Amino acid sequence: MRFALIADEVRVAIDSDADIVSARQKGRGLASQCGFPSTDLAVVATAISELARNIVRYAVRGEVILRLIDDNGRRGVEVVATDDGPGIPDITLAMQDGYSTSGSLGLGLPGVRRLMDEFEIASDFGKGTTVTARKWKR
Amino acid sequence: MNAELRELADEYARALENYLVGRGEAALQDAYELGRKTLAKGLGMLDVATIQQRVLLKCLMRAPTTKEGTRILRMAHKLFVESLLPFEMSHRRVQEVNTALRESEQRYRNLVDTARDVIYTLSIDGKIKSLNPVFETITGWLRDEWIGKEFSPLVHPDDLPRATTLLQVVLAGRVPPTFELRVRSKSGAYIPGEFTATPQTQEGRVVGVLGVARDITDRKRAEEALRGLNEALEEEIKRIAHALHDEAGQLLASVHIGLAEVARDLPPHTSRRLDDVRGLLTKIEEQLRHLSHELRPTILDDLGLHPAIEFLADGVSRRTGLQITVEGVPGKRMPAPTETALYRIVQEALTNVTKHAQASRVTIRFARDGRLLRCSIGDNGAGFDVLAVQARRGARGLGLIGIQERLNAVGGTLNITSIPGSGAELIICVPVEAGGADADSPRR
Ligand SMILES: Nc1ncnc2c1ncn2[C@@H]1O[C@H](COP(=O)(O)OP(=O)(O)OP(=O)(O)O)[C@@H](O)[C@H]1O
Ligand SMILES: Nc1ncnc2c1ncn2[C@@H]1O[C@H](COP(=O)(O)OP(=O)(O)OP(=O)(O)O)[C@@H](O)[C@H]1O
Ligand SMILES: [Mg+2]
Ligand SMILES: [Mg+2]
Repeated sequence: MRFALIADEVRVAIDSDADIVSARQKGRGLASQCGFPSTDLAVVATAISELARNIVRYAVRGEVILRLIDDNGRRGVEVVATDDGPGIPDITLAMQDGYSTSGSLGLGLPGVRRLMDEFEIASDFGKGTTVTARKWKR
Repeated sequence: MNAELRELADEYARALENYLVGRGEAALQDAYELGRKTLAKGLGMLDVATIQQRVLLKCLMRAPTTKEGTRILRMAHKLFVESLLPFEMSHRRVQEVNTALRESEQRYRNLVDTARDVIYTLSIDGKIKSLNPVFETITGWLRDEWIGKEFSPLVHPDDLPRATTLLQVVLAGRVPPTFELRVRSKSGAYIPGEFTATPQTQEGRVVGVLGVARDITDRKRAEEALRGLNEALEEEIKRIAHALHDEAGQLLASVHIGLAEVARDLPPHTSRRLDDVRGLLTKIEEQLRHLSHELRPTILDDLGLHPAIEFLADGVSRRTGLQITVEGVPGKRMPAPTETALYRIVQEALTNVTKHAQASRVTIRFARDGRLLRCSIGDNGAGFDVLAVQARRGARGLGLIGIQERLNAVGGTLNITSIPGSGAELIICVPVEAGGADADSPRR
């Protein structure tokens, strides 16, 4: 891991819409522990929403891992959404605004990239997807 | 408030109620989803603000105490932020696109500002809309002296009709091939320019012209120099041909007369041996005459390309044993530089066949196709690797290069095809005046 872990990580299994709510709640809790302003709490919750709803929609089940991290005194929240679903055949395409294989807005992935400070996506077609996003305290 | 908004407002009110009674994150998630739904319906942030204002007012009016009112306000704010976040995502997208656009515009600007060719735009009425800085360097004019003005005074009067026609072509949405126009500089001198012009379109409509103009003064000079050089060369060849024909010919004739006199004084059996020598001498004379005619065939000027080529083919054939056929006719007489160029090209091509091809047959074929004259010279010899020969640097023959340069000067093209083992073919195309296949005739 690149960053020091401040507290134990929180893992939330994602299986249904209700799990999305509890992942949001845990994420918001962690971020407020490290003193995020309230609008940034909403930003973190949004990222969790988008990544978790992608899991429910495209991979059926997976997991959201939430971490409080420290980078030389700078604190932040790391959100990892991971699943063993079908994976994404063309990541560049999936990251494009308005691209959706389900006729939705195609807002989620590019939206999370822009709201958060750091964004990484890895996907093995056929083996699942892992998205990592971080928000640092301002 | 319309039905659609009212429905969303009801949902928002439910979310707020839920939030106030402690349903926490689930209510916030509902508000977020509501914002997403509003966005998906194509509604805006102001609609969300209207909804929130309505719902909040109603809710506050029912608040029993100021304390409760304050709590409601604080919580409603959090809910409101949630419902706006989807709009924030799409707003950041716009910001990102704008930044990218600005950067790409800046890059484009830098390119235009530092370009060494003039980049211009015209409006549909032929007024100059923009010019890049190099316009000032090349022409001496200030850009401000021309922007907003008609382009026509910048063009040489003789070129103006063509320029106007081309403008119409572009405004009709087509892209003409590159063209040349002379541009008037501030000093009054005309600068030769090579132009491109393409239609600028907006929503499928032509709204102007975008083009690039290159100063081709240097190229023109080089072409002019080459033409001069070729002309000088022709003069020199003419001189040598005359020397061969007249002076060497005269000398040989004197030798003939001398020999005839000697033969008269000799006994018959010795004089018969002299006859053999005189036979050889006649052959030499003949060859010398033929060579001098080939060097600078007066036939070319007097009778035209076709007889000159036939004369050349006949001479080469007799000297080398190659079987040469000339098919088709070049048609109407062409300007002297074009005819001379073609003659020299065929001459070099035949020399190459003799030197390199080990061929037994050569076919020279002429065909006229509208404004193009096609001339091909094909042999059945060894052939060669065209690409390898053309890529050769340093020590390489001058024949093919000379052919290419002669063609450049008359606007022609050269294509070489060769299959090693089964011969080579040079295909030459030169632009000529359209017209029928008039018989060859003396040049007027
Ligand atoms: N976890 C995942 N597993 C497999 N495919 C995924 C996953 N997440 C995203 N994708 C693919 O990437 C595409 C883009 O995702 P994104 O979240 O940007 O848009 P969307 O989910 O289609 O639309 P929206 O998020 O606006 O509802 C999806 O349509 C889907 O094909
Ligand atoms: N008809 C041909 N058949 C086979 N090879 C040819 C033929 N014409 C040209 N070549 C090849 O192409 C090369 C280049 O020809 P080019 O006329 O440019 O030079 P050159 O004949 O070698 O020298 P120069 O013409 O200067 O006396 C030749 O050396 C020869 O290898
Ligand atoms: Mg999505
Ligand atoms: Mg040669």
